[in-house]
Amino acid sequence: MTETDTWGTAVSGQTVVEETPLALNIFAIMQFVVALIGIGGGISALLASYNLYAAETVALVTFLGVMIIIFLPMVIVGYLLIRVALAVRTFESWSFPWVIYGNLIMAGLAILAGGLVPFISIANIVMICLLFVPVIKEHWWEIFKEDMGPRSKETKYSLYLIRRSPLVVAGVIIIAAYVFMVFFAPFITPYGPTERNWSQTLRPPSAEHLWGTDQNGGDVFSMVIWATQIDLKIAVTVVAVALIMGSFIGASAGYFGGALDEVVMRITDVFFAFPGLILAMAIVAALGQRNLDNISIALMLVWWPTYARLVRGQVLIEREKLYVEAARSVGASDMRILVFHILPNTIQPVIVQATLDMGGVLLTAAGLSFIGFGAEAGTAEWGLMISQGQTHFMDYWVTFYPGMAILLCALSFNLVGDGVRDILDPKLRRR
Amino acid sequence: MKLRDYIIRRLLLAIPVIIGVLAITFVLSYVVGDPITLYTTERTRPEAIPGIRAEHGLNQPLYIQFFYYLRDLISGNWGYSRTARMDVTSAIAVKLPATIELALVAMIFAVIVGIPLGIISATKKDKIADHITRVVALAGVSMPIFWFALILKYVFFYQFFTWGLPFLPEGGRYSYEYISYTPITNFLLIDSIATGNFILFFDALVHLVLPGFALGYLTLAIITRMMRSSMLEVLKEDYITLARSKGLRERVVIYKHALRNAMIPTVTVIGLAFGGLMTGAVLTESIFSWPGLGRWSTRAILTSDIPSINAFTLIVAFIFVGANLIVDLVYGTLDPRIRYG
Repeated sequence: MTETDTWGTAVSGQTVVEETPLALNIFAIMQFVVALIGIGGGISALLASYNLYAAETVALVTFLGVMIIIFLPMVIVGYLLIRVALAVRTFESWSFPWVIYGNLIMAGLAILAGGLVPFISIANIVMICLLFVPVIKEHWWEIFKEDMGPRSKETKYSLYLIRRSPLVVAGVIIIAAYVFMVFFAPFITPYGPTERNWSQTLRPPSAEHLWGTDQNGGDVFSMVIWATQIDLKIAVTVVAVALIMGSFIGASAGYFGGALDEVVMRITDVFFAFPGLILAMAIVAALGQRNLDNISIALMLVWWPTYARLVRGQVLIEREKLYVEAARSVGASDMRILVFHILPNTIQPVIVQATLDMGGVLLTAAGLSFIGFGAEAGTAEWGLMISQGQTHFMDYWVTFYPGMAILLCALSFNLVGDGVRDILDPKLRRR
Repeated sequence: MKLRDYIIRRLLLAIPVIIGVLAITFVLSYVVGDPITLYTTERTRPEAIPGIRAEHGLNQPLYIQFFYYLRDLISGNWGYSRTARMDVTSAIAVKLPATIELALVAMIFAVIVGIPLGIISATKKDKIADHITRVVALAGVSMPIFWFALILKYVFFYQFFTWGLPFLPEGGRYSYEYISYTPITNFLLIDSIATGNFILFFDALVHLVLPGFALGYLTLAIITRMMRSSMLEVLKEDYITLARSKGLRERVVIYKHALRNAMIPTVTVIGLAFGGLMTGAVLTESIFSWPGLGRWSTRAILTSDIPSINAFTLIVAFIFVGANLIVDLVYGTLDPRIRYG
């Protein structure tokens, strides 16, 4: 970065001004490709129209392909943008952010150019749709409306109730704020996650350091915000993996019953004989290495039985219902009945449980990290920040703010989970 | 089903769970970790290690090792703890009472405060009192307990000290004056009462306030939430409407008719909360320098002291299984419907 180049440097190392024509060219080519695919898809769908399903499939694949081509570059540009900002923040001193501004402009241009693509592709899609409106209307839409009618009505009503519950709305807003922090940490923090100023340790909050500095001279405000990336990543991955693993095992146990059910339930009994954190501790200790990945693995192993039990119970109830009998009598396979008929009807309590567990996993992960597992010293992670700052508890700001971050995050997930559970439970709300 | 049969059935059901617990701890310390650490101390000579391996059957196949593991557990040979610098069994004898004492104080606090709060919240639903209670309870469930402990220490020790107010001790079980105290049962409150040392008793009680409060708050929150929801459920029942229509006073309706039935789910939660207290002990004891299981285990983990971790995991699991068993038995006694489930 030189003083003369006020646009900054792009990821490629060239200046933004030099890069711009290339970017425009790329997007021009993309428009052409999208148009080709759209027209080609349209024609082949037309040719295939003697067979309804083939025509529909071609139209759908074309549509999806075009969409992917449109959105992929936007995602890539956004990603690169964040990467560049990250690189600047961590490795270069913070004088004036030419580089970030330059790249912002560059990204803006790219997105603008990309924005032209949708018009062309929409034209294509409209063309395809016009050809197939009668077909789609007769076959897809009617079936869809019949299938989804009651369900969409129910969903609309639930959304209405959720909007009316202030606590749930508050929770959603806080969660949105955390997600915002995850993606925009480079732009809202004045310091990098590992940036230290050894001459300014344990300074109380001031204009320069909004929430003071810790025992190593790290800026508490910046570190707390950077830590959302690590902590939310752990919570999301653990809950997602535990949910999928547990649902699969629980659903199989509940549906097939017999010995499989008995074995699975006895195994979950054993897992429930340990408090979560203690079992996770033992697992991480046995794994030997102390890092965030092992924390995640341990928490996944601890959390799956919850979902296995929950889904099993739901499946046991649904299994006996008439619609399953109907599906079986038409000759649907076990797998089909389980995946397409039973599981969609068990999803609501699972989602509520997952929301509530986000808070639980977050707290347990922070606890493990506090004990001394997890990230290496100096990483911006809430539990670790509290752990390392605990000897300096007299300087409250070192531990207070990371703790508040955990508290608010867990609280908002609990608010949403509690509220949604009450709302989705038809027994409760019709009263 | 008769009550006796129910109890027998429930006890039998606990056996596979206990075997499973032993299997998990076995897998964690024998398969994932190196089991030799269970039998060596820092003074063990390297030449002696093959002999120890043979003696404890560590050269044998795994399922035979499992029996050796069980034999050692039953015969009280739990290994040597490098962290506590003594045998694991004697370390447990010293540290378990400290943790149990703390957990019981926290539990008593949580029950005494939590149940009335839950009742108030349910009977005054959607009033100010209910909203405040719900926020308090929700905060308790969402709060990192170790952070809460630090904040308590900051306010009641450091700030009260700087303001010149009477402050609470920052940690430990008793003040330095009583360092010559010789333990009998290691339950400090019982010991001091038994020996008639009331000053020590009071001192120990003061030292229990902060850790007990920090530890009990989560349990308090759980009990309050459960009490509130089960009370709301019960208040909708027909027999409550009947009691009211007979013209009974609201007080009698709530405390005589509703409370007993609403207590049943709360009892379950109280039992389950024991696990939470053990977890909390791990996270708070080191902050208050409480010489219990929790602080021992966190230190053991940092030095990869497998025998201590193994023992700690086992003890907590046994306490947890035992608490659940008792809860189920109480539940079966209170509510005959359960026995037919």
